[in-house]
Amino acid sequence: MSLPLYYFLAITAVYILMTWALYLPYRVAHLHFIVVANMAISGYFGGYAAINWNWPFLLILAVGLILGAVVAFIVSIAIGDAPTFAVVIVGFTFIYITKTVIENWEALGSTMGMFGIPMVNHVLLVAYLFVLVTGFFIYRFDNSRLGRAASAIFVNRELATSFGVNTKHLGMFLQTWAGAIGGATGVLYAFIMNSLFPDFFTFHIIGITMTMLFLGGYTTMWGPLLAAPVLWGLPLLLPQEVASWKMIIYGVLLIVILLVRPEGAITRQVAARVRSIVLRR
Amino acid sequence: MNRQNETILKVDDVYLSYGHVEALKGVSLEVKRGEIVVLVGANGAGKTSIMESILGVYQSRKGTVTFKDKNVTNLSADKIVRKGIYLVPEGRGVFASMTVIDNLLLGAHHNLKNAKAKLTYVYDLFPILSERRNQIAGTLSGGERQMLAIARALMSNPEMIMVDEPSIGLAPKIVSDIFKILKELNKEGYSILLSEQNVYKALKLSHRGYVLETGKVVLTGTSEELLINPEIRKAYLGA
Repeated sequence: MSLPLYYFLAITAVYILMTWALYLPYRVAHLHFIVVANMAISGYFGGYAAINWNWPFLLILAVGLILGAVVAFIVSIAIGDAPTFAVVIVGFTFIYITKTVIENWEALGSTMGMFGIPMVNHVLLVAYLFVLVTGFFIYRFDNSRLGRAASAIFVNRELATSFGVNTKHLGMFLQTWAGAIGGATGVLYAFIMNSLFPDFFTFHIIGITMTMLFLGGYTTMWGPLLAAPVLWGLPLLLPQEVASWKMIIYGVLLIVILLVRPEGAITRQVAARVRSIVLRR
Repeated sequence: MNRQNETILKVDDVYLSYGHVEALKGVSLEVKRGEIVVLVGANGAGKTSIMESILGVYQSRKGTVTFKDKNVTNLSADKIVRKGIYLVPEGRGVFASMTVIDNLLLGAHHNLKNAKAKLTYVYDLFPILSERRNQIAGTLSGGERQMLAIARALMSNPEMIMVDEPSIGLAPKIVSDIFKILKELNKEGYSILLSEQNVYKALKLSHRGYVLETGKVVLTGTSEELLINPEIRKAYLGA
């Protein structure tokens, strides 16, 4: 496989996973940017463990996933049922605390970044297996009683409460799950790129994944699957002078889609129509 | 023991505040098993607040709520729903973007094991919902939405249903149909706490009533007593 194709596929997997990590808490109207901090923490942990302790990749992936889940769970105790704006503020704060700690921690490479993370075989295969497994569980969730409850919370939290939905527990569950995905994705990213820079884990990745979520469609899990390869791949095909304006292009696209098609490209109705066509065949 | 005389719900001296605004000021009431009890009062009298404090949506500042002899004061709503109380909210609370069946299954959030049997039961009761099961709920008429809201309550296997202002925005004929449905449900053994501004219809339907004014119970009695009470007749029945 050519190197550009390898990186295109690998980073597409990373973006699909990170967009799903945003999608899950957004099911209950939480824009949970802490997943970016989870990605950074587990990514740096993974790099450090591989370089200094020679831990095997799969062990690091498992620990990175658990680390992401634990950090997200602890935070979710405070914000599992918080209003959207509070979750956003906590997310940004957490990202900047994480970034500041990394930038001031010499062992993690400080502002220079972390280099020399070893290359491992089959990281692309593992990444897509993880996409498959994560996608399977999200699909099961979306079509379960908890998925229905999440949809109810998204529309009217108070009303959902009156039906006996425990909004805090469901919020905590989704934040923790998203944190686990963020953590595992951080480890995958570290082993795909073999280096890490603190600047990556800030507004840059929030902007990209948020555009993927809202452009692809936030009401189904299929939106990120469509949007990640398109939005990540398109700038790679554009001339360098245009591609360097990528973030502005994303911003414009985000505004246009919110105005023209607020639920994104793949809505529930579109997904249902596709499903019925497929089932008919 | 005659279960008909058993008190299923007792609200004792409950106070509820929204910030500095005191919505309930020492409200006490009870519902016996198999009864329809109506809460009567103008807007802002505290009818919805009572229901929401019983259900634990808002925490009361003082007082106790007892359901089937167990203290449920300030338990979270999910625990209270599991115990057998369900609220049909004002304005129906139907999720317009979900299908009819998804709305119904939402009612069975804690009771999915029996969901199939309960679906059959509510479809028998409301055949129109069976016909429209895969339809988006937002496309239903007002009366159908109210039926869906009541059916969703039944999906949770409740012993007591609280129905908040079911007649709002409905044509008189539909209101009569909804009240007939409530009467049928009561005959099947459901205890009902009803909040209603259509005082005459509500008192005709119910066994007993409480009249609320600015967060206090100012009058109580059997529905027959309240229907002939001069103050009620003057304030609510235009006599």
